[in-house]
Amino acid sequence: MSEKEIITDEMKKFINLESKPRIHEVEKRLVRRFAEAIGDENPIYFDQKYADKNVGGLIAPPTFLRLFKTNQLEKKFPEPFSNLVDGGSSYTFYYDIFVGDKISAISKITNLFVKSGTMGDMLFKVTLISYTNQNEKLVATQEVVTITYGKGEKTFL
Amino acid sequence: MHKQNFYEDIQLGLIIGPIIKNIDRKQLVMYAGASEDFNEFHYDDEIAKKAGHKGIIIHGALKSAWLAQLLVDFVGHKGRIRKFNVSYRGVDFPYENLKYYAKVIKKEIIDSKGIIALELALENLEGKITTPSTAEIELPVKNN
Repeated sequence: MSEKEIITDEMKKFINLESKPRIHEVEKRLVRRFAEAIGDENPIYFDQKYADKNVGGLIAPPTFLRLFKTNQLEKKFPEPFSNLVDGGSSYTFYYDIFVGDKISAISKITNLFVKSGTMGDMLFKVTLISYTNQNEKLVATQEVVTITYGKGEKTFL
Repeated sequence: MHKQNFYEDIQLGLIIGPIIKNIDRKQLVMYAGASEDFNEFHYDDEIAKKAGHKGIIIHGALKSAWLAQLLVDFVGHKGRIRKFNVSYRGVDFPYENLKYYAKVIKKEIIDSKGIIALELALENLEGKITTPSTAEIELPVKNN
């Protein structure tokens, strides 16, 4: 199928639609648990005294951003395929995220395109997530590439 | 002990690492919980096999976390990561030696900041790069 047939006008209407902000408090326990789960023993993530002295307080690891989920749009994106894989992420970091911060996450689809591969046609969806702290400073963005492919029963929601 | 790298001391072509990881199922379960990614591919062999894998697979984002850790350790407390890009080209499995490293490919002073570009990669047992990555970091400049 051609890109025109796969990417419908209805899908194109989703481009640049922003989700409602979702606020996440950066909890000390969650940061520590995340650092343990990735096997990172850097004291800036759990040793209050050390972190205060060296980096101005306990901070969150760069990819802790993954925990800041975004709200769904009111209308659901009409997914044309049944399987989903994470293609990767591009992060831009402006400021550190500290324990106690309240981070507001907003997402929007910025691009849709089709590629053909061994698994047939694949839809690439580029989503930009922006993360803003309680002082209204943009602290980071993440551009996520989500790839969907294949027909049949949907294996994701 | 923490050591601070400075811009002037970093040569083009410098290789950081390699670091070897070999993780178990428990670590994947810990990551699933800590990151709230409960996709069964990462802890249920049957479901991973149905999706065409030989067994449970490592979360792409966990591989990113390791690469980011390498960068955080390298920039120290006075430097910072500006950009970090990671692509998942292939899946990786627990109980296998995975190797990752970074290479300095460009350095320049911009607005009196020491900016360094790096290429990173995570390789599987066969030496195939499953997770290529790039980054831009900032290091402190001496006497600045």
